[in-house]
Amino acid sequence: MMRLLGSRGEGRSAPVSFERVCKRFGAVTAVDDLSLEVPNGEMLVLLGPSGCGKTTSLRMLAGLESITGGTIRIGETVVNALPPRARDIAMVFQSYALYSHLTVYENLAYPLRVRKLSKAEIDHRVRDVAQVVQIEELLDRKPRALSGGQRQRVALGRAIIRRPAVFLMDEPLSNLDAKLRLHTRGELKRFQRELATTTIYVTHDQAEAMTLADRVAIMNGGVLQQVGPPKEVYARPASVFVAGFLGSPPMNLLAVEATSDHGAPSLRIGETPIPAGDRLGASISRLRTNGNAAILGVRPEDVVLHRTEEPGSVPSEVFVVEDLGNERLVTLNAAGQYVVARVHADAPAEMGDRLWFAFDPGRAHLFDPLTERRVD
Amino acid sequence: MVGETTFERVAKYAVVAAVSMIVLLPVYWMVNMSLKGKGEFAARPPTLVVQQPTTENYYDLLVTQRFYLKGINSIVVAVIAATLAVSIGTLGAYALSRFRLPRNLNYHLLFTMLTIRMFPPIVTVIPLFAFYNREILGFKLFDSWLGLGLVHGFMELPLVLWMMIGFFRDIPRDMEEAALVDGDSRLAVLRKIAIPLAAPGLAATFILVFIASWNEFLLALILTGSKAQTLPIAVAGQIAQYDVKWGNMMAAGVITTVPVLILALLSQRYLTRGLALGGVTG
Repeated sequence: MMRLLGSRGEGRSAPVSFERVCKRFGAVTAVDDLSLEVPNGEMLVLLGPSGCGKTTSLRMLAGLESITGGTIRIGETVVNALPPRARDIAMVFQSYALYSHLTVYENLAYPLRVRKLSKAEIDHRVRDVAQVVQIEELLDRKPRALSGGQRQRVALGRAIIRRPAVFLMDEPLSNLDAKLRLHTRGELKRFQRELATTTIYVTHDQAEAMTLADRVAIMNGGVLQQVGPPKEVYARPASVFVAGFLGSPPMNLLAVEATSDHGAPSLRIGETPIPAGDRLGASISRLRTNGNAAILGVRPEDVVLHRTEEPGSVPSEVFVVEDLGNERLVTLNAAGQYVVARVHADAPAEMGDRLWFAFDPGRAHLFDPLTERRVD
Repeated sequence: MVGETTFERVAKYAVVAAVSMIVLLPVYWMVNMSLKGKGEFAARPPTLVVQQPTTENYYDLLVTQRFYLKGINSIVVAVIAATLAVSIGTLGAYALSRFRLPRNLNYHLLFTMLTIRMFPPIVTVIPLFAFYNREILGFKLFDSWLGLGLVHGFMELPLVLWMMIGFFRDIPRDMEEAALVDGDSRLAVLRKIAIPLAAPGLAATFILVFIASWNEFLLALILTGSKAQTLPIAVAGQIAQYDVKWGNMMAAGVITTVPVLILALLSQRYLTRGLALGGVTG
């Protein structure tokens, strides 16, 4: 067994690398040309809608799914052909996958028993981990006698008891109720920082991704869209997909026409030209589109509402107002295009009101409608 | 049941009672006759309830004929058959439920196995008989426990495969994958996760094969002589050339039925649960 584990000793975290990894199921391509480096100790969150290939990528790393093409490394070792047991990984499943015929104690001891540790060592470690994940008083119970949150802790305990090179987590919080999920999310982050073990975390919940990740990798249709720290992917989405996926509500995406107004670059929304500013203006030339069409991206919190017409503002009608308590979401209809503004809770707006909206071009983005990539 | 009228309840029990009577009448008659002496046997019309119960039939059977030896044969053969079929069938079923073979081979293999049950056993009797009479390594399979156990086990293999596949499919895939990640090989996963979780199904399957072997007549008749002869053959053996020992035959029937009955009662919980589980998903 030690030979299979390569040069890494137990308890040593290791980096992970995907190099041009593909996975095909018959004619369906689940993961397409995925290249991704995860440095040692990082928490990387794979984020995307269901069917985007994030779970398949995780399962390929775990060895539960074969790899159609490319190379996956854990540390220095190419693991493509290694069985899961030789990869020195631990995994938390969405369903927790506790061994239902074994007690909590036996569940925790399982990975250690497989490795033929001494009885005393196993007992010591089980009690240790039970204390860390706060399930000491549950050790004699069977999984079916536990609540969802307790099961989740056992699953986590079973993963950390091994001190693996990499943690894999497949939507570990999605079966918890909302309150418990928030609480566990925080704990998970602490555990990960304290253990400083490379962690790959799969989720479709962007709040989880944003809060937990050192870096987020966003996937869609089997293709990696963007990798970066949460703040960066939020502020500078690489593609229309990322812009429309992150944020709640997501970035407003408006069809605009790039023109020039008395020599200055401007963007026309409907009939209204607005100055593009230096940054966006310079990026207009990078559009590969034929004609002048472009996609303008503005975060709802960057949209400013005016009661009267101001220079650089666009006329619109309030379509609907949604109150969230501390703020309100105002959806505007601007010549057939909908724009959501996130404004202060007492900002005046009623359904049917005529309002003008504006935004700081310095905080807006321009996307090429052909490539769907950001050009600014 | 909720909202049931008295009439409905009475009607329900009446139907159950009527069906039970029809089913149990032959069993009752067998027990009844087994306790009758020679004199009472000749009574016309026959007595519905035995008038002078006697154990002479049982005495003759067990002491004079040493019928229990056939019982031992039956038990050993059935255990060999069930152990063989369940252990091989379980491995096969696990493989077929977990690994996807190319060209839909999983399905074809399962179907091919099923055909074993489709041709009448008599077809195989003559080749088997010839084969069993041949000496291999100084040992003849004819009239041996192993010989009959092998045939019975093989006959029931499809049943085991089809039932166990159903049980294995019920086991969450995640749980086995967790064990794989935790460091187990496939075989260890089967031993430590799949089999313990499928234990009720395994027990039910074992019992079904056991009963099938216990009751099997044709192959047992041809492939055994006097040494390894099983109970059903011995029961039929009560028909002699010139007369039929009705009393002995009925007593033999009772002795043959009782162990299976007890087994079925003891394992009823597993059997019903097992059959239901396997049936739905299989």
